[in-house]
Amino acid sequence: MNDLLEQFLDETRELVQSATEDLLALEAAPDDTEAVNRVFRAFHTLKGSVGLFDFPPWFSLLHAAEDGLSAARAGTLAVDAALIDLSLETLDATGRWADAVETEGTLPGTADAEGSVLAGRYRSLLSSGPEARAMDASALPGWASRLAEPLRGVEGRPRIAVRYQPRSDCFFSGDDPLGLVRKVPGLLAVSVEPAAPWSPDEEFDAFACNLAIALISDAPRAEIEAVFRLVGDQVTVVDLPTATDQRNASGGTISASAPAMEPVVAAILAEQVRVLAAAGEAQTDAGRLEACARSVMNTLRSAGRSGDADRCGQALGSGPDALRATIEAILTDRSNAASPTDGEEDHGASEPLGGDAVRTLRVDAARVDALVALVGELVVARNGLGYLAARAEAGEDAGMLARAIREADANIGRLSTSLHRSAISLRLTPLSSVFRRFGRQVRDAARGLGKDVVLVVEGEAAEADKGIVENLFEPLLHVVRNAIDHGLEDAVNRRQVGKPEAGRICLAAEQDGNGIVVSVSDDGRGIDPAFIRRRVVDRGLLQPEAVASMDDAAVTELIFAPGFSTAESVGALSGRGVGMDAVRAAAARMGGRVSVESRVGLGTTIRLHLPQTIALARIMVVGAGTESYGIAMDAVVEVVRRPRTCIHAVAGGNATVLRGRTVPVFRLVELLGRRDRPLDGDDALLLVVRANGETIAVEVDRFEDHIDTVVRPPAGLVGSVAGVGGTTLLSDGRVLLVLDPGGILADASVPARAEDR
Amino acid sequence: MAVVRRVDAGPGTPVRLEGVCPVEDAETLASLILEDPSAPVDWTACTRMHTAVYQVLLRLRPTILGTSGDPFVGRWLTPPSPG
Repeated sequence: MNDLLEQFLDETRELVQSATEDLLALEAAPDDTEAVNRVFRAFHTLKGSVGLFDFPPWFSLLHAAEDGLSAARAGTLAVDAALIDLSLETLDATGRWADAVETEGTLPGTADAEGSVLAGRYRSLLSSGPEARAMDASALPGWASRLAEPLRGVEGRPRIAVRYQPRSDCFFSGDDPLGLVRKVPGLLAVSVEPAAPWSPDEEFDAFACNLAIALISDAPRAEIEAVFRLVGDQVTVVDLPTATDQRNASGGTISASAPAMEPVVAAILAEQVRVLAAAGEAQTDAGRLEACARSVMNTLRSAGRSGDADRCGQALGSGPDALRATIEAILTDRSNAASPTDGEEDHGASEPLGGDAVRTLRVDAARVDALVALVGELVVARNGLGYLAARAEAGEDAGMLARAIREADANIGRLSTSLHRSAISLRLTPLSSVFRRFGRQVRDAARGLGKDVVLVVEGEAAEADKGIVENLFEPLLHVVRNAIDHGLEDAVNRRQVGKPEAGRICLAAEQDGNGIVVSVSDDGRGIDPAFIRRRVVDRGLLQPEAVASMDDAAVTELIFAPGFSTAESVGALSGRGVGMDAVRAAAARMGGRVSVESRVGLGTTIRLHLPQTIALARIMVVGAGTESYGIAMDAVVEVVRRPRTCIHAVAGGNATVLRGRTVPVFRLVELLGRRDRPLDGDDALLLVVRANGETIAVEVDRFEDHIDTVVRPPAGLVGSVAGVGGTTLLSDGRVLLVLDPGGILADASVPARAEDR
Repeated sequence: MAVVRRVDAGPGTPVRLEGVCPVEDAETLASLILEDPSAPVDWTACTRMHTAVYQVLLRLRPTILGTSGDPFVGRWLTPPSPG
């Protein structure tokens, strides 16, 4: 795949995403003109970039969508559910087609039919919109009626009002907005006003455009639109009502502007116009002019329009302005004929496409800079080694040398640690990239179930490894859908229990030590442990006695057990748990785990605890029995030595009092399943660790070392061992198992508690 | 450059716009007006004015002398009144 296409696909996905968000915002507040503008601009840009490639059905669909949204922006088409749904469907199609182009290199076979159906729906919206043409002066935007006032009563052809608000940086891209207005045929009135009030305190920036230009013309709409073709996103065009002629141009031009010229040809021509315009009339150098003319002529010839090509050749002789005018004229001509066939409904189901296509990584430039700077330092540090070698050869005293080598080692060690951290951070992606996709998902799921749901997103700026963020969507979607379907009560029930009718789903992320916690909370009915107990026994997953001895929290966790969820449980009393074991499996694949917290009647929170990166971790090496284990330093709060007499047996285990708090004490050897060893020594070495939000003390036999190392996520055989957070290599080549205290506890506590009672 | 002001000029000497005034002139014009807000601007000799230049006049509202030599500006745009 070439770079251009790759970039195009990337950009397309981003635009689809942002347009989706804006459409959803618009659904909530249809009067938000800024959102309409943003949606329009997104479609406009999408259309522009699709036009660079040869995807005619795609281009015509986006063109129709742009027309529809342009009308919405001008106020001639209502922003209603029909328009928003249609636009969302169009974005869906665009997203799918982008995927197809990425994996197959072409549009799916159904694109033609699907595109023309959607485009047809846009056109019928435009032609049927009751407000569409029945416009009287009172419905005109203020700027248009102000400008039209002096012309009232003057008979004439239908008039078009245009409002052109150039981007504030337009001067830098070589635009001369008034230069465009000069080209508008049939001008009747022009006004130029500041777009926003001048701010008196700020220094006046002569090169920031703050103008709104309004004009009225009696030329055909298509001719006027042709002038503003390249700044279409900054222009609003409105048909003015006339006394003599009610039937006016808008509807006609919209259906007529389906391109007879291939979009790619049009795009090339438009680009040349842009280049010529950017050069400024006087200073266009001959080479640029020649190059533009040549590309235009070649393009036209290849499209079988040698007549037009010759016209350009002649225009070339008369200078850049003439050439530009000629190209623009050819571009305008293309509006004839070829109305896309309004289609049959049979565009069928789209074939599933590979979701695992390789994506590019967008990296903050500052991070790359930091990395480059570090590499530079590393090179310098390495040069120091050569110098040391020379000193050794010169027979320098071994003691001095050893100290110098230690220094160099420390220096390089520091650099490689930062280098690793910087490199890892390149892969960090904010969770917002996943979270933002949920606006749409929640809306659709809620609508499908007839529920009213408010989505709240928190902490989306938290970052995690790209691989994790990308794999998060599906399990999270599962949880969110479950929450909407089974967690939230319907409106009637909610009203009865005194909750607001709209359910609330909160999607949150937060940093937690070396990892991140992504949670989905609802304010629904919660999970009833009694129901789970019955269900577990009914399913034969556990013996009744075992279930009876478990506390409610442990019982609730059973929703993640494989085989717990069945189709029957859907819609039952607290019918949550559809496929929750799949969520647990997905989290485990990413090196994480899930937990649930629920209060009957108040709601449920499902948390996914995930590693943030493949991190360079500080590991404390501790001994238990004859073996050594690592524990992430981040989890260790402190290390204390306590006399054994201070550790007391309490119900279900041991505990000690540390800094005024009672802390449960576990012995590492026992947690690892070996309880045969007697206690030795008068003092106990305690590692105070935070795990799962609790503080616990883990008794170890000895402390051995602490090292900085890369912890590999558990894989293969080790992957299935509970409580192992990963592995690493010790300097002597031995493999060290790095423990995940939370994991060991979660695993150990359930059976332990069961036995103790 | 087509923004001209006589070097020996005292306060109040007009700033003249001459010929084609491209986008770069906007800054020159703005600084001249800001230096001496009492100076009027004579735009009769300007044949074509860039939007940015017009914006400067609209923003700083100096006294304008005569009718703009740029036919488009003269025909369609109201001279910004001094403010």
